[in-house]
Amino acid sequence: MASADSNNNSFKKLGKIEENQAPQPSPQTERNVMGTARNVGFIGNVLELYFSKALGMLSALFGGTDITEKSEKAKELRDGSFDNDNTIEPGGRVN
Amino acid sequence: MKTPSSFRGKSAKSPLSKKTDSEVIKLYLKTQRSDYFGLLYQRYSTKVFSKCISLLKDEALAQDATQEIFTKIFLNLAKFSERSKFSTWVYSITYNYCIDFLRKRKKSKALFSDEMENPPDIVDDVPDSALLEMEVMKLKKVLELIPTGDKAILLMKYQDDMSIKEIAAILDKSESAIKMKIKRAKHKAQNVYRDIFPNNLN
Repeated sequence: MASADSNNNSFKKLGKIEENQAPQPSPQTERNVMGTARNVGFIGNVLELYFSKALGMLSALFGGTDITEKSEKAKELRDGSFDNDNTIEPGGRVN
Repeated sequence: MKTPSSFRGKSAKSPLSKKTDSEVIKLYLKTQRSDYFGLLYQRYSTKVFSKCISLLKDEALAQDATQEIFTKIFLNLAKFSERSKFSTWVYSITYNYCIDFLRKRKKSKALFSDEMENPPDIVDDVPDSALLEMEVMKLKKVLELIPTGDKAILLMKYQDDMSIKEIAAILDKSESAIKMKIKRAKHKAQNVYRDIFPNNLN
């Protein structure tokens, strides 16, 4: 195993020297990399925000139930706000 | 360490600079804020660029390579599993890119000494100390004169402390093949050293 101690390791010393002597990557390279990061991040956020809505709308358009509607209903049920036409009481007795 | 232009001055004051790579990655994955990725770029861009210059021997190619490598790092950040250090993961992508690039460009030329028509016969193992204790400028000269693949494999092992398993994964070879490649690369380096510095006993 190579020694981790850079005092006895010429490879590590050389690495440090080369790193200090090497020019910086150009500002253009940095701009391009960060531009990609921002763009991909933006697209990711857009997809996350709107994709589920768009999917729900498409689903509703073709006659299915909008999944966002479903999840809102599920949320209401979790929160305890039942619909008026709910015929089953919490105790289980049917009207 | 030098820092890229738009981050200069920010790093020393920012509490973010005290966070570990792993913490920064988690923050980035959680928030998708590009300044967290910018911090990783700031920490590693000079090292990656310097490795690219050392392997590709061309500054313009190294600029393009650095951009490609960081785009790869960015796109695969969610897959980083922390089984290795982040630096090891970054350097493995760097070596992989450079070796791939040189393979495509050179095609017929051998990248490793054991890919030559007559690979050197190896009888004795060269001790690690023969390379590790070599005078730095002489080591630099030797590394310039051996095949680039041999140089890369020696840098992975002795400069970046990668394990045989990690090197095998980067080069897509078996661990025993890597051991043999390292052995041959060390041998090649020692022979080059003896050729160019015949009066040295080191």
